[in-house]
Amino acid sequence: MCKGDGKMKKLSLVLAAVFAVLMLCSCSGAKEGSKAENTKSLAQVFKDIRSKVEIDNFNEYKSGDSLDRFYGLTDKDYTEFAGGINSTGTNQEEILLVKAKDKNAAAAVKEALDNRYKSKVAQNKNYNPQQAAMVEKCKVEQFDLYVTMIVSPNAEKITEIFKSDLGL
Amino acid sequence: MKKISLLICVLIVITSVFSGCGSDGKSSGASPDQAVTTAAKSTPDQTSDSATGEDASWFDDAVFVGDSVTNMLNIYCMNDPEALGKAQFVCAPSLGFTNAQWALDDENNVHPSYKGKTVLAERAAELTGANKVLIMLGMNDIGIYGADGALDECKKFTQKLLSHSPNVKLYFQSVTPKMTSHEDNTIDNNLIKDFDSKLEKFCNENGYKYLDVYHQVCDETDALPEKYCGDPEPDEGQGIHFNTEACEIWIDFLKKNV
Repeated sequence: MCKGDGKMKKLSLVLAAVFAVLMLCSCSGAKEGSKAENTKSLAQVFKDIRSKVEIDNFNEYKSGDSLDRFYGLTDKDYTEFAGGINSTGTNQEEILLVKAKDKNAAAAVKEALDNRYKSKVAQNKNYNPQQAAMVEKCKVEQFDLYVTMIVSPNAEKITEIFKSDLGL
Repeated sequence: MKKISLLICVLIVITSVFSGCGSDGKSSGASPDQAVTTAAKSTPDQTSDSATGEDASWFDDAVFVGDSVTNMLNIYCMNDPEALGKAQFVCAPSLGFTNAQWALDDENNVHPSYKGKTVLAERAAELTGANKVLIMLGMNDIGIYGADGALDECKKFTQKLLSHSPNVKLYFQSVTPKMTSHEDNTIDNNLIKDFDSKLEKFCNENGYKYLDVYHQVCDETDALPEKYCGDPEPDEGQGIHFNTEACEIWIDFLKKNV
């Protein structure tokens, strides 16, 4: 056996080891990927909610401008969102599902939604008792990076679907 | 040669592994930018392209201050930039000239929420940077304080607003009509018209623009017809809020008359 063959063998072994490590990384990456595929986007979750719960006269938020308009949230705060608001201006149904960028952003989103919710309670309590009662039964919730404000006569069912779809 | 071949193989493997990981990462979750792109492609539910007069961009530096009637306009304009451009809204259900002047921490306050924060309507222009303020308030005052009392509160509110933003141009929109079926002893259309005529006089005396939205949406009896009402139900509805058709008329009127 010549020296060249020995070096070649060593090199092959090193390369084989590198390849094995890379394959392992690749496999774990694929697992994470498939997990991500199983996690629905908020748009999908909201579509699922609308297919299972009757939500009438509803203007869905189509761009980040709406989140700035109603909640003061910008794309610095979230990675995705879904929801909308009743289009009549009197019915107080309003749903927002947000995935914050990180923990700090989640706290900021929670604060913004808390403020919005408190305003809705205050604006309706002496004005529209029926709507006020509905609003007061609802709440803002946080699940790690997800923050929701689900103000709806069907809030419980909507929350249930939201949590189920995201495995929360 | 063998070494070079092996190295090339390794590079191919590394490239394929890492490029695969990258694509997985991208596939999870939609970014805000993607959401905006999707929105830009989608067609708005309603458009006001037929309107002549001022372009929607005229409203880019305007803020609307109002109650639940204006709140409907806010929601209507949400997904339709062709309606009133980048107009901003500081409005809340049950807001009136009187309760708009209550303290922010008043336990009965009904102050509007602007960008997630509860604010005083008198600071609307200051907060939004608007040069034009279009106000529609009074419906929640006249039933309690009468037309004269409501106008007194209107004058006080105006002074407060101008103290924060002395250079803004003010536009007062009339209070709008009720459905006849919903008129009652507290608020009927005669009271609304009485207030509106006083408001118009106030505007003329002070150089503010008065915008008569009332007569754009009323029928021959001066009432809000059911076809323009968003809450005509006898029990639950108030018979005062607009539907999308009335909002379109309102927007068209504003564009032609501001």
